[in-house]
Amino acid sequence: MKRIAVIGTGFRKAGTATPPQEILNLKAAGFDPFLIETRLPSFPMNEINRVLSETANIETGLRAVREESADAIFINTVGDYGLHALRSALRVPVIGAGEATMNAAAQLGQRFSIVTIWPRSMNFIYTGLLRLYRMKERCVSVRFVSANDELATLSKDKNFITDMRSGEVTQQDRIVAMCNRAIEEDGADTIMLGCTCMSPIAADIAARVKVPVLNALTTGYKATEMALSLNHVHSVEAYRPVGGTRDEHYTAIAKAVTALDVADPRGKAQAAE
Amino acid sequence: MTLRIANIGKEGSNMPARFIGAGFSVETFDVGIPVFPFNQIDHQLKSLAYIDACLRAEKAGFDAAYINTVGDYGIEAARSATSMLVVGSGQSTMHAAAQAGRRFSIVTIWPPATAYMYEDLVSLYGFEKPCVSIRHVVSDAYLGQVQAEESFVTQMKAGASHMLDAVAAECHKAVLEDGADSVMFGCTCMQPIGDKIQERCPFPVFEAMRTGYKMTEMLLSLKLTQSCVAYQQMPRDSAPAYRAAVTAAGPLVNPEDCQACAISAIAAE
Repeated sequence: MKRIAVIGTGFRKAGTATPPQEILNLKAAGFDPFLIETRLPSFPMNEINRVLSETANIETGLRAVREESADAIFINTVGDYGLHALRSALRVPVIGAGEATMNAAAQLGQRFSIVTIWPRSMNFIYTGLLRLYRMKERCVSVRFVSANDELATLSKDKNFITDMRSGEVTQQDRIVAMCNRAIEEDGADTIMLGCTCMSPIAADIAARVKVPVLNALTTGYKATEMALSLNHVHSVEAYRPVGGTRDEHYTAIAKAVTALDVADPRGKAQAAE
Repeated sequence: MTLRIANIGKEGSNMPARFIGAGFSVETFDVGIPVFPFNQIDHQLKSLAYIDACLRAEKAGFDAAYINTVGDYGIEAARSATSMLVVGSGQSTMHAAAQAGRRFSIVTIWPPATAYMYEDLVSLYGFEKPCVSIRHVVSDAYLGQVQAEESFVTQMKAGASHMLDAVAAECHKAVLEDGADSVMFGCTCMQPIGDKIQERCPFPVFEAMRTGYKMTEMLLSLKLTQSCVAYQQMPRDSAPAYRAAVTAAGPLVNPEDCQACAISAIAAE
C-alpha cells in the first residue's frame, strides 16, 4: 500500500487523519491517502504571510515522510506552498494542486481561466504561479468571485466560504456566472477552480458549465497517484539536495515553525477563520 | 463499472498489464495505414489512420482513446470529431517531463529525418523553452537500411547491450551537454527498455507509453474530457468517411519494417 500524505483539507483543520471525502471517493486501489495538518496557522493574504504558509507546509511535508512513512506528498492547495523546497529535500514525489491542475487544464483545451472564490487581493498568488510554471500564455484570465471586503467576514463561523462549501445557491450562481464570463468574454475553453476549498461543489459547477471544470483537489491528488504508480520523481538537477541532512533540515524548520507560532498569535486567529 | 480505453496503435503495441489500473480495461485498435512518418505526407496518412481508429473506438463504445504514439497523430482532429476523451502520449509526457524540473530533452530512437515531427509538437504544445533538445539515437544513414538484410534492426537484435548503451548515452548527453534535468523518450516503441534505461540514469526518464496511458486513466477517473469549445464538434458523423479513406489508402502503401520489433526483442532478452 502506497501512503500519500495530503497536506491540509483545503479549508479548516479537521483534527483527524481522514482526508477529504472527495479523495476517499476516487482513490485507487493500492493507495492509502492520509491527512496531515500544519502546525503553524497561516493564511496567505499577502506575500509575507505566504512565507508562513510555505514554512508550515515544508515542516508538514518533512514530518509526513519522517514520522508517517509517506511515499508521496500532495500539497492540497492551489498555492502549492512549499513545493519546491520540499522537492529539494525529499526523494519522493511531491505534487502541488496548482501545478498539476494547470498542466491538466492545458491538455484539455487551448486557453484556460482560473475562477477562484477568493478576491482580487489574492491575485499575487496566481500571477506568481503562472509565471513560475510558464503558463501565462495558456491562462487567459484569473477571475475573482468575491470582493476584497468579504475577506473580513472570514472570522465569522458562517461566511461566504462556508456558504459556498455547503452548496448555498447564491454562491454557486456567482461562481457559475464567473465561469461563463470567462468563456464568453475571455475566450476560455477550460476552467480551473482556483482553490481546493471549492472542491465540495466542483461537480455541481461542472454540471452547469459547458466546458471542462477542473477540481484542483481531486486533480492534484490523482496526479500524485499517477506519479507514484510510475515512480516519477522530480529531477535532482532541478531540485538539488545540497546542504545538511534531512534531520537537520527538519529540525531547523520545526524550530522555526514553533518560534513563528509563539511569536504571532494573530496568525492563529487568521488561520482559524 | 469498468472504464474501457482504446489503445490506438500498431498491432503489437499492447499495453503491458502491469500498467493497467483496477477498474480499467484496455483493447488495442490497430491502425489501418502501415506507414512511418519520415516526412510530412506520410505523417498526413498516418494521421488519417489514427483518426479512423479513434472514431471506430467511439462507435464501439469505448470511454477513451489513447493515441499510443509520441507523434499524437490526428489528435486534434479526433478530439473535434468525438465527445469521447482522447489523450496523446506526446502531449501527456511533455507535460509530465516539464513538471519534473526546469528543462527536459526528448531522446528518440528515430533518426533526424523525424525531427520535424518533434519540433512541431513542441511548438504546438508550447514547450519551446522547457524543451532544450531533441536527440536522435540513430542517424539518417539508417533510413536506407530499413529493408536491407543487414540493418541497425538486425544489429540491435544481435547486440542489445549496444542499443541500451546508445540510448543511455544520449540521455546523459542531454543532461550534461544540453542542460536538461529530465528526459522523455521520443517513441512509445521504446517502452520495453524504459526501466533498463532508468536504471542507468540518475535523473527522471519518462517512458511515453506508460505516462500517456496513466494520464488517460487519471482524466477518465476525474470524468474529464477535452473542451468542446477548444475542439468544435461537427454536426455530422465523420467515421464512415475516414473508414472509407483508410480502407482505400491502406493497400497502396508499402508495409513498413518498423524498428520497434527490434526494441521489443531487446526487452525480451
